[in-house]
Amino acid sequence: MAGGGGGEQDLNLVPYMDIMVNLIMFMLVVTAYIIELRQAPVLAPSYSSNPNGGQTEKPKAFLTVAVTSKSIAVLASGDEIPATELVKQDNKYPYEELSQVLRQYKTEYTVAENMVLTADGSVPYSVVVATMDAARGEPNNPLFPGVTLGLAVKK
Amino acid sequence: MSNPAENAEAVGSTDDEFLFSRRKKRHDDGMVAGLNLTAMMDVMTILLVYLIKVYADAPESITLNDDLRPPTSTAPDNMVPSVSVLISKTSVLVDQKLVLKLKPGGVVDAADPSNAYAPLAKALASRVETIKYIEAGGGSPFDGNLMIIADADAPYDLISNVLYHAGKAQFTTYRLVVQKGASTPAR
Repeated sequence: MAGGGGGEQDLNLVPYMDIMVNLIMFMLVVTAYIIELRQAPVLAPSYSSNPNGGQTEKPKAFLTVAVTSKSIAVLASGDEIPATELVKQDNKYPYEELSQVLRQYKTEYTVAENMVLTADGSVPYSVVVATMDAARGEPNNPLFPGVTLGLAVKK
Repeated sequence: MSNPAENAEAVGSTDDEFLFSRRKKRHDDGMVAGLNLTAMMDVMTILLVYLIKVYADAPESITLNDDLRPPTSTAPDNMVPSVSVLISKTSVLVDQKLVLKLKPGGVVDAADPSNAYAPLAKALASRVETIKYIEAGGGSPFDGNLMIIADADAPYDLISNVLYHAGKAQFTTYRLVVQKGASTPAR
């Protein structure tokens, strides 16, 4: 209002407050539905003839984890390293056992830091991600932080 | 009899004076008795700025629904915006543009099954070409990063084929987008 009488006038903050309260309520509701997303890095396959970069020492064995609809198999590139198959129990994949087996491989044999993960074409993506988690290990006690995704196995 | 218009004016004037007197009501010692909204406004403004910042920090606005629900994972890396391939239960999109339609079970709905992934390959190659053109003009360089946002139930065959065609289109680093949390329950 125009104050012609020279009286003291305050800015009416109430409508502004209404807008602010509505905006804050909206933002609070929206942020409650924001799901925190993360990224799992995956290595692209490399076709280097010598993975040791020209060094003459014996190359490290490469582990491959293959997921099928019935089991998870751990295979190694070297003949002296045995393969392990972990069969599904109660229709559940044995992720914890997989972590233990991979840790055993890492301590007992000379294996590369990276591994290949492949799966049957029908295996759900969530199972592949869970297998990657099991292979990655814990942040303070990592197993195989570098995972290369192989082509799907077709029947 | 008094004029109703004059009465209304008188009432209005009385109301204004009442409100004004309430707002400006002072005690005898000169202190303002009304509610001081300025401090509350400060709090509200700070809250609003904070919430806007939280909202803006989300690098990718991904609408999650029954059609697209990425698996949960313990992966530690934060999101890095890059070219995205979104694989839902019904379609595959490259940077929010539809390139493939999917049938139930994650099978590509294409007239020629032997060339089913051709639109995806074309879209990825086109995206790389655009980024390289921008790079040539002084823009940010092509880093080869590709973000895969896939539904938890998508078959690995589909994911594998997408990665294969991404590799052919010169993408070298793949990042699987997952929901933060404990790993997907075993099944």
